[in-house]
Amino acid sequence: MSPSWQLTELCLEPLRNLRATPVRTAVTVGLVALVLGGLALVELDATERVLALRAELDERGAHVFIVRAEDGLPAARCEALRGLTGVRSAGGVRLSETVAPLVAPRLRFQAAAVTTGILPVWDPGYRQAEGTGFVIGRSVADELAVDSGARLTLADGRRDVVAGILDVDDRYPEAARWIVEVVPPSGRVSECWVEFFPSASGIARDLLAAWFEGPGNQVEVRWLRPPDEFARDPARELATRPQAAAWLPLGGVVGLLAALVSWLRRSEAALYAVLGVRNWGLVLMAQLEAVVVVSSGYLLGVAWAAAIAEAVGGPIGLDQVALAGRSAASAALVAMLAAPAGVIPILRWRVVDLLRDR
Amino acid sequence: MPVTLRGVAHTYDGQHWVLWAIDLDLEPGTATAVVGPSGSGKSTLLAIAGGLLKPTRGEVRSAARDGRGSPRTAWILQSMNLLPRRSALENAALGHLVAGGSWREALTVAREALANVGLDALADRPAYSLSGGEQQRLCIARALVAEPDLLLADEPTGQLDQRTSVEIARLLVDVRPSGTALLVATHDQTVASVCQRVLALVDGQLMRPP
Repeated sequence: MSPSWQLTELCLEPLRNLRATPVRTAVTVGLVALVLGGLALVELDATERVLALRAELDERGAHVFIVRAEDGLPAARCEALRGLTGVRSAGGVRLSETVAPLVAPRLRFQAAAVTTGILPVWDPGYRQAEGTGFVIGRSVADELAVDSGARLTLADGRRDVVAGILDVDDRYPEAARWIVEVVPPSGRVSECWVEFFPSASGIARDLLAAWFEGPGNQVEVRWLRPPDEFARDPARELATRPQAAAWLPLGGVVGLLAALVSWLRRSEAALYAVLGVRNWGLVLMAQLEAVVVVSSGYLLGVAWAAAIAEAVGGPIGLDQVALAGRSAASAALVAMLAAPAGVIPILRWRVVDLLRDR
Repeated sequence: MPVTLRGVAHTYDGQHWVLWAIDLDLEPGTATAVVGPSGSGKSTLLAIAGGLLKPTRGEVRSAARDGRGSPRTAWILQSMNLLPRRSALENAALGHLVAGGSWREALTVAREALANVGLDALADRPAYSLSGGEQQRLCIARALVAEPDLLLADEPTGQLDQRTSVEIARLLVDVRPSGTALLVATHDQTVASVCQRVLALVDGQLMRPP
């Protein structure tokens, strides 16, 4: 058997070459970073838009469900939904008679008793004030010119502080003229409002039906806003984003760039062939060099894309970086696989001819 | 015997024979020059002897000096074939890796080889910054580091001036290990004159010059 290079030395040689040519290495890594980082940046922008859309739909109650039953629902069971994974909040409401405030006895407002969990479902930005008292809709507050902490006396003699004001314009505008009392979860409620996290929304209907259904108790579960009410769907927009398949051509472009670099250095490959490196060794060297350059470019590219996205659009989530990183990683993988292509034509040439090219 | 060629003939296009009926023995420790004009097939002969090219016809037998396995071959070429950005030391060390040595050992051996060819002071300089003569010395050092059974030199002084050519030719013959067979293709009489045996390649056939 003829003597040959140690595998370790064959693997280390590309690193020694990269170190010996810092300018070429930096330029190549920079170009790879530019392409892969560009893809990551576009992906970060796309996820930012999708997240903004999802937040907007969330805000409007895209994942809110209302459960009703002919004989009402147990309030405690409704509130207990809050303990389930995937449920953001849940609470019940029981309507009562209309009421009038003492200061304006001719104005009538809807009164209702609710359990605590319904308030953030109606108004995601609602913050419960300390202590108990009436919670009133924004219209009630405006019409009576009262704010949180003010005392409100009703014509029927009930008197308490205004513990909070609900902004229900987005989700349940009818409740803007309601005066509600937060009560413990006992007895029955006429409706149970449940908000799910987007990821759990798909199983909501079945879960709620199973949760409340019992012998002779037919429940009706409906969306606050049926999905067809929204013209846009974040999940669909994420799946059909134009750049979703860009990793393949971009990876190919980076791979061709790496292959071109190998091609331009073909006499170097020939020299290694003369120095006893076999064909598979030349491919291995080209592959390892591509792995180092493309990986470095990938890390650098994703880092600068994340930095730019954060500088321009504010904080970004890890899941966004993960998605952008995955797309760029796919492109990087294609590039790594394509890179040795620059060496393959050289292997078919006669080494002596190549050596004379220099 | 490192390499024996018997009845070797070669054509690239199937019509024109570059080499024809070549018989050649390259004994350990001998220095053989093949002279001839450009395009006479000298490089093809070297490529066949070095195992880079399979002859169209004929037989090439080769063995290491110890009789085990293929002979270790080293090349010195007209165009310098160095890694220009790597240091002289690192370029020389590459020769040792061919023999399965480690990089650390290779650097040690290369330093000695550079001293042998008078380049020890330039060991850390990148190869591109060396003069033509220095680069060719570096190629010789790299070949020495490989401790070859067969040293093949293709127009080693083709790009050098007369004075440097003489130096390189002397170096080539003098510093090689004692058991190494040297085969030089050249049209430079200075180089040919330092070899023990000179053969001319005429119309694809080897003959002793008049």
